[in-house]
Amino acid sequence: MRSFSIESNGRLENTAIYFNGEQLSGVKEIFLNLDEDGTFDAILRYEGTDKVIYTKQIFTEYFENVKVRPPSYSEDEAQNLQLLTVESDGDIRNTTVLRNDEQLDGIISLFVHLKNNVTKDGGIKSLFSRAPESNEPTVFRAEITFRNSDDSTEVEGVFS
Amino acid sequence: MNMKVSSRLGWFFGLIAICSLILIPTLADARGSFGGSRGGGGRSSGGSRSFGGSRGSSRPSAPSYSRPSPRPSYSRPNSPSSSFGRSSTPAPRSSFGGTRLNSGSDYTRSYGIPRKSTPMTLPNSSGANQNYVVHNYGGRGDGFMMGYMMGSVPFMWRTPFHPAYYYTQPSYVTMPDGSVEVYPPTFSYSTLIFTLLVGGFIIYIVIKVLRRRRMGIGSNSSFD
Repeated sequence: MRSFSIESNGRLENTAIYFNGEQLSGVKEIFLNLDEDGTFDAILRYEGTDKVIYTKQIFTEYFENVKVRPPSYSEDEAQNLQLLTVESDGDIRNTTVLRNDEQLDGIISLFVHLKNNVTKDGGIKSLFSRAPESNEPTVFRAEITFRNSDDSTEVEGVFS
Repeated sequence: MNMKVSSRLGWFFGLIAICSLILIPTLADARGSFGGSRGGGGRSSGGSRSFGGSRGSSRPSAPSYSRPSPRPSYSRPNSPSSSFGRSSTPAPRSSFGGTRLNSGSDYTRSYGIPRKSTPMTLPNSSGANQNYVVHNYGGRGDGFMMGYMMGSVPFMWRTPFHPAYYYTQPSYVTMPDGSVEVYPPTFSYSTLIFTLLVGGFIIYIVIKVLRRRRMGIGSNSSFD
């Protein structure tokens, strides 16, 4: 069972990603598409300590050369953030979703797509390169679709 | 491929700008007086340009390696600006560096006949009196010339924030009788261009850094 958490206020600038309690760094993209029908896509793209971009299945693959960092937010700061946690072994039947440490029930689907298109190319050299300024906007989408007791469905933003 | 080219281009311009930073003080000292326009003059431009320190000679046809001044040609004062007047050597500077001025006619050919020529005697560094003929053309260069003749110039004159920075130093011509003719500084376009280049480079860097910082992800984020 692995634990993957996203703590954010809805802005990528204020988003911390935790994996088994450790805050990750160098994250480029997160894609979670979990559905009660069995769809289980959980992908993390990150820049490793060796500057290589890795794409990994969050709950089944080993995070090679992943960068970790000290926790960014204190408890007080975390009060203003929403914490979404997914605990799973890669099977939808063994998957638990928690928001602010409260387990959620009746989820039809969970969709999270966070993507940072800003390329950070440090050093003075980067000041002269016109390089990769992507036209794609930064992506921040996180939604949960619930099934209500009357069988109606409701979509909620996770961090808004 | 395109990225590589632009990156190399950036490095190329960066190197040029850094070289400019190194060269600017030299240029400020250099005597690129001919070919520019003199403040207040409005006279024709053109004429000879060479490297360095105005060399005084009464013989216009003299070859560049001959130097009538009794001073040794292998030594160059550290501060050419103070080589005139009380604080340092009154005679023209070394043969090396700066702009050569063979005779006063070199200057007058470019900038015309001086409005006023004032003879004066000032003691040189050895205490002996030295005769000077100071030629005035009117305009800002005259003021700077008198400033240089005072012996030492304020530090501000060597910074881009002062107009004197964009002017050359006075030109000196040693006459056969030992007197020294002094011609006013002239506007140096090369200094102006290099200063603009360096200034532009610095502004470019600052804008780049600010833009990058604005677009970048915060330090608290895992997305960095």
